[in-house]
Formats: sequence, C-alpha cells, structure tokens
Amino acid sequence: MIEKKNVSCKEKNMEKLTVRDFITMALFLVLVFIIYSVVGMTMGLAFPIYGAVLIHAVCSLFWGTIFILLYTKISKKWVVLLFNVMIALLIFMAAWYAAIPIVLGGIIAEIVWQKFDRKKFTTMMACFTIQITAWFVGIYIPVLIITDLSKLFRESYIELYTGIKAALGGPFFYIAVVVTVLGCVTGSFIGKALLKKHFEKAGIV
Amino acid sequence: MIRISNVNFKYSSSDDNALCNFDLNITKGEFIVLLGKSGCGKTTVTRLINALAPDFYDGELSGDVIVDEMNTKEKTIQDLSHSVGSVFQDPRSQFFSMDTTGEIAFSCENAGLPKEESIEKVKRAITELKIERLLGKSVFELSSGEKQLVAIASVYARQPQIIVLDEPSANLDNDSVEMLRDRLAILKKQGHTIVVSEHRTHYIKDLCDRVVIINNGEIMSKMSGDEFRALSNANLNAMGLRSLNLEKIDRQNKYFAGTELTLELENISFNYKNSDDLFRNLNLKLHKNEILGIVGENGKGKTTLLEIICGLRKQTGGEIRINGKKCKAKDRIKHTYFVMQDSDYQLFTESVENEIYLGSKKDKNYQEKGIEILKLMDLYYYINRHPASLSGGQKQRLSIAVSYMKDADIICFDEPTSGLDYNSMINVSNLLKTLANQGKAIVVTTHDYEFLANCCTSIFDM
Amino acid sequence: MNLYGEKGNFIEELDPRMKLLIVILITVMTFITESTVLFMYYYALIFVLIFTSKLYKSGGRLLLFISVLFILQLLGQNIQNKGFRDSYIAIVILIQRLSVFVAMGVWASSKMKVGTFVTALENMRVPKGMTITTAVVLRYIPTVKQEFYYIRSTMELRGIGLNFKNIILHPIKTFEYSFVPLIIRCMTIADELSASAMTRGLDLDTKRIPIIDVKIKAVDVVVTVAVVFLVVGGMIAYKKLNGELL
Repeated sequence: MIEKKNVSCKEKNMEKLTVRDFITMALFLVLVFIIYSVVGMTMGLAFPIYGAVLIHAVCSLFWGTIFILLYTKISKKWVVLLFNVMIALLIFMAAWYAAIPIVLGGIIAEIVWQKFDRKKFTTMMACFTIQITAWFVGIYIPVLIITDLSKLFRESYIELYTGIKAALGGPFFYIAVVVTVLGCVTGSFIGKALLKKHFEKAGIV
Repeated sequence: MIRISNVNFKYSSSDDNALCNFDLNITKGEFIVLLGKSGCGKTTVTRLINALAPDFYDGELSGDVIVDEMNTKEKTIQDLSHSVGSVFQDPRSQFFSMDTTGEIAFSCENAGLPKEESIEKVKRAITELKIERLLGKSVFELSSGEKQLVAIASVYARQPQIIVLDEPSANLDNDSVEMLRDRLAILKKQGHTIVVSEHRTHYIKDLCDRVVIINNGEIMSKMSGDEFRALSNANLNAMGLRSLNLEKIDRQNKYFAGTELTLELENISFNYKNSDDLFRNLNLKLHKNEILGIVGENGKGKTTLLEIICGLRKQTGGEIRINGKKCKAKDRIKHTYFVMQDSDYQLFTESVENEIYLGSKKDKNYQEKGIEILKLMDLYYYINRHPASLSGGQKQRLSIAVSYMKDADIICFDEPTSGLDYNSMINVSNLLKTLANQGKAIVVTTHDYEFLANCCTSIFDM
Repeated sequence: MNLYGEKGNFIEELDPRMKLLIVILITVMTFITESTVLFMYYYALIFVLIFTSKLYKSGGRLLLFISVLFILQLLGQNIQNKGFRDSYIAIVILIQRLSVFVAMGVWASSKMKVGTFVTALENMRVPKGMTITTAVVLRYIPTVKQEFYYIRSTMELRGIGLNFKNIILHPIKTFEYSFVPLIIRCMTIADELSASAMTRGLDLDTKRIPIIDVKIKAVDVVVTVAVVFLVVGGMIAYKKLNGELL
C-alpha cells in the first residue's frame, strides 16, 4: 500500500514545476531576450521599418532551438503558458499593450500543449509558432488600431494615419504574419536537428 | 552530527558507483577535509550531506545519511538548509541577487524569518566575517574571491550548524585564499561543523581536525589532523595529493635566457573604457621554448594581458611585435591561441574528432598529428564522444590538444591547473614542456605555486 | 551600518506600482495625442523624470534621437509626391510615438534593485515561481552576455569567428558554433544556481519576508498625483487655449 502511495506521489511531483524548472526557464528567457535585442538592433538599423516588422521572423530561426530544447527538458503542464506570461511580464514596462495578446497566445498554445502528446516534435513546434505569432501581433497592435483610435480625434489627422496603415497595415501585415510562422517552423526544425546532433549526444536532455 | 552509514551511491547518468560501502561519522564542531583525485567521490559526499544527492543529482542511494538527526531520504533539500549551509566552487553561478546585501539576506528571507531578525542576522554576518567593505557593491564589481566571501556570508547568516564547502578555493588567488582561510577559522572557533572537499590543502592544514582520503568512491584512509600535518610533500604526492608546504617555492621574478625572441611587448598600457589604467608601461619579452608564469592578485590584469597578447583586445598604448614584426590585434589572432580557464567556452563540435580538426584543412599530415595528440592526452578512447559529455579534466585536456593543432607560435593558458589534483597538474606541466620543446612560446597565468615551480622557466609578477 | 549604500531622491525611490501607473498613463496619452505640441510637452515631462533620476547618459541619447526624428519630420514636409510624403511622415511619427515606450521602459527600470522588484511583484500577488524566474532573468542578462564574449573570442582564435565572411558563406555552421556552447553554459548555470539557491532554502511554498519593505509612501502618492495633474491638466489647458470644447 505504502509503496503505491510513494509511486503516485512521485509521479505527481514529476508533473509539478520545480524551482529548478523556473530557473531553467529564466536562463532560456535570457537567451530569448538577448537574441531579440541583437537581431532587433541589426534589423532595425539595416532595414528601417520593414525590417523592424520582420524581427520576430528572423529571431524565430534562433529561438526555435531554445524552445524545442526547453520543451524537451521540461515536458510538464503549464510550462508553455508560463513562458509566455513571463515574456509579457518582462516586456511590460516597455510594451504593456502587447501583454494581453501574448498571454492569450500563451493560453491557446497551452491548450494545444495539454491536448496533444507533449513528447512529440509537432506539438512543440505548434506551441512555439502560436506563442511567437501572438507576440508579433501584440507588438503590432499600435499600428493596426491607430486609425481606429484616430477616429476619436481630428479629421485631418485621419488622413495621416491612413498613410501609416497603408504603409504597414493591410496586406503587408498578413504577409508578415505568414513570414513569422514560416520562421517559427524553420527554427523548430533547426532546433530539432541541433537537439539530435548535440544535446542528446551530450547527455544534457 | 553527521552519520553516513554503509552508503552506496550511483548517479543516474553513470554506470559505475560514485561511492561504495562508505562509512563516515562526523562529530559536532569537527573540521573535516575530504581529499582525493578528481572524480574520486568527494563532491558526492558533500552532496549527500546537503541532500542534493539524490534529489537534485538523480541517483540511487542505498544506506543511510543522517544529518542533525534527520534522514536525508525523508527530507527535502530546503528542509536541510536550516542545518546545512553549502558553498560551491564556481562563484559565477551562486549569486541570486545583484547586490551583496540582498545576497547575504537571501537565506534568511527564504526561511520566512521576521524582518528584524533577518536584518540582525545579516548585520552579524557582515561584522563577524569582516566584509563591511563589500557592502553596497553590485555583484558585477566583485572579484571571484570577494564573491566567495559573500557566498559564505550568505550561508552563514542563517546560522546553520554544518557548513559544507566544495573546492571553495578553486578560482581564487592566494590573497583571496588567505581571506577564505581566516573566515573558516572564525567559523571553526564558533563551533560550526565544517566539511571541506579540496585539492589545495596548504591553506587549511592548520585548521583540520581530521582528513579523509577517498579513492574511487571508497575511503582509502582516515587520519587525524596531526598525522596529516606530519606527512611530507613526497608522501602526499605519491597518494596523488597536492603538497602541503609551499614556503620553499621561489616566486621572484625570473628570466629566461632565450635565443630567439618570439614576442615583444613594449610600453604596453591598457584601460577599460572610462576607467583608470589597468597597467602602464609594461615590458615583456618572450622567447621560443620559454614557459613564462605570470603571477599576481586577481584584478591586476593578468587575464587581460593574455587577451591582449592573443589579439582579443587592443592595447591602448605601446607596441607589440611577433617574430620581430609589429603586429596588430587582428594579426596576433593568427599567431596565437588562448586556452581559457573554463573549457566550456572553447569546444564547439559534436565529437572529439571533429573538435580537433575544426577550423583547418583536413590533410593526411594533419590527421596523423591529430591522432598523435589525442593519444598523448589520453583522449583517443573518447574520439566519438561529444565534448560536453566529458569530465572537466578531460575537457581541459581536449582544449590543450586543440591548441597543439593550431600551430600557433604563442600559446596562452589561463589558470590551467585550478581544481586539478596532483597527477593531473603534473600531466599539464609535462604537456606545456612538450609544447615548449617544440619551439612554441608559452605564457601561463597561475596561482598554483607547485605548478609554477614544476614547469615555468621564468616568472613575471604583475 | 548602512546596508544599502546611498539612497536616491524621491523620484528614484518611487514605489514600483506608482511607476507602473505613471508609465501607462504617459505612454497612452503620448501615443494617442494628435497634436505635436502636446506630444512635445509630454516628452518634456518624460525628460524631467529621466533627468531627475540621474540617467544622464540615456537621457542624452534619447534627446539626440528624438531631435533627429523631429528634423526628419520637418524635412519631410518638402517632399513633393503626396503619397510618398504622407507615408514618410506617417512612419516618422509612428517611430516617435513608439519611442515613448522605450523611454518609459528605461526610466521605469532604472535603479531597480532585483530584491525590490521581486518584492513589488510579490505585493501584486504574483506567484512565487514567476518571481523567481523574473529575478534570475534580470540578474543573468549581463552575465550571459559576458559568457558569449568568451565564446566569440575563442571562435576568433580558431578561425571560425563571427565575421561577415563566415556569416554569409557558412551561416548555419557559424550559428551552431556560437549557439551550442552558449546554450550548454546557460543550462549549466541554471543547474548550479538552482542547487545553490535550494540549499539556501529557496522553495515554492514558503513566503519570503524581505528585509527591505516596498510600501507606497505618502510622497509616492503626491508625486503620482502631480504627474497625473500635469499630464491631464496640460491636455485640458491646451484644448481650452485652442478654443476646443472637451
């Protein structure tokens, strides 16, 4: 009897996120943010505006490895949602308007995470793509709604804001979303390859 | 206080037992030193005491470990943290906070102690361990030695009876080791039970009550402090242990009577942005076949000097010549190699074999050279293993093998023997001599006086 | 014994929750305002906050950046092609608005001790796991950057450096060489830090009692109210002056 109890206790504990998991997530988040700022600055300077919009797509090529590794190492419930919540929390001071889409994206991704086989690569890839696309959309919000906001104000400026929307909204937005998704998928495959080549071989996962 | 009875422990990631039939009783207030070659199991013993094994470092434990009347199998790591404080080897990854005060208060805050009590304990730790001068500093401003002192204070604040230290002096210079020793003496005087796993024993030889020598997971011998102190350096070295008595080693500036000049540093100055000069008007000459040991406290710029020699940094003043020709930083990179203290920064591929051949053309001579050095370094057996799966010592040897392959005129080593046992230290020493005999110029920064005496042809005190 | 070194002025020591309120208020107002005059007024307020917090270097850089943007905006008036001109000006204005978020982010996170920030989060009932993660992220960003520096240095020495040639000709390999050791180091740091923290009692159940209280002081309320007054009041005054009704 007692043995059975111990086993199920241990299993339960295997599912619960530990201090170590939280700290591991933190270090991976550090990598995510460092890549974000480095790619962000490079693309922002090299290709003003249009490049800035594609930052997430390019970052995803690098982030793929981080996320796949994280999900392989910590295959527990809630890790997906928590990771996005942490992203939202950390960029709050700089871009609080993006917090809600990021968290929403995290919730959707978490539902996928819990519904499907967490050990499978496709599940991880799907969650990663949803998470990053949500982040991208979140950051993009000011551009999308600026014309709607401007309806509250003077007429003459609506023309100006329509200019912004024309430049960056509309079809361009959808293209950017697709490019971001493609970036995530590619990044995931890169991650899978690196996982196999290095991390599994090194015994880290 | 601590009873380790009939313990066998095997890590999940390994096939062999880390500890076999291990029995050790430690009484309250005792100062015990665990010695042995790298990989012998002494770190595992410390992990048994603070319950990191088997909870954190997965493994199978048979037998009992009773610490302060608690069986570690029934308690969590956090439960034991009230009785056992742990100080680890690497100061870089022990800090949770960004400031010293926050770090010292960490264990008290975690324990949920009332605010006034925590503040009292923090103040007490600072005064008794004499680290007032470190107050208000950010962790990024501290040297490794200072970080270790803060780590000890952080552990001490909670006033655990037992304090466990895993190679605490590994990254410290000799002045910092003195500071460490003084704090340990204070802890001993206050009656704490202290367990230290170490290679460098010279600084704690007068403090230890008992010494346990471990070999391949088993206790080889237990002796009293007096018996240990009576051993000669030769006795110790024969057991694979470092020398106790270092007073006789000469550390004065020494020069090499070399014939061919490889490297010349003339009036070199360096300062970080917005900082004072780290050093000024430094002159140095390095010859073929020379092994130059650079000594001096941390913070004086030893590592920075090596980085400048290798072209990783530009000097702010002065000229550098390699083989007689003025050499800019970009060009110095081609003639040099730098073996860093931590090999994790230096290995990039997925197999030892690919690592050796990285960054160069694969012709037949090269392949033979590669196999030769792998055999010399005792790594040929691991040729298909991923570098990250090797032990610390093996990674270091691989790093040195890589430096051999580069065909550099000048090879710099930053503390190559920190944390190495006696035999490994001798191996590294021989390797450096081999490299030097082949005509290379070697520069080594080191705190290890035993090593210095063993292989350095010249000494430069910064 | 002064445990914490020098204390800043009342702006620097503002409670994090008040800071957050101010950040949201100013960024919203600045972003949606259509008047350039008001925009500059709000930005002036931001500069007051930044310079009283002694962030001279960042403040100077920001001043330069926003000045360049304004010059670009003025120059843009001369563009002949209407369509191009509208897009150009629109984009410049968008960058100006977005820069507010960066400016406020810099101010809000200045002189923030990790311990204080964590306590503020705990006061806002953030679960303990997340406060742990936050603290570690803030603490280790500079350290990981430094780690990457060592890895990059070795890459240079071994001829696989992060230079233009390698990135263009062998992008994936260069990525692999720079990234894999960094990830391995991060995982090692995570493990060692966790061991160190857990042996000092860090767990998910015990409530942490900080030695520095983070409470909303009277002066915090006063400052926040003053800022609100200046922001909203400025807007009302401007609209009244322009003869607009609210």
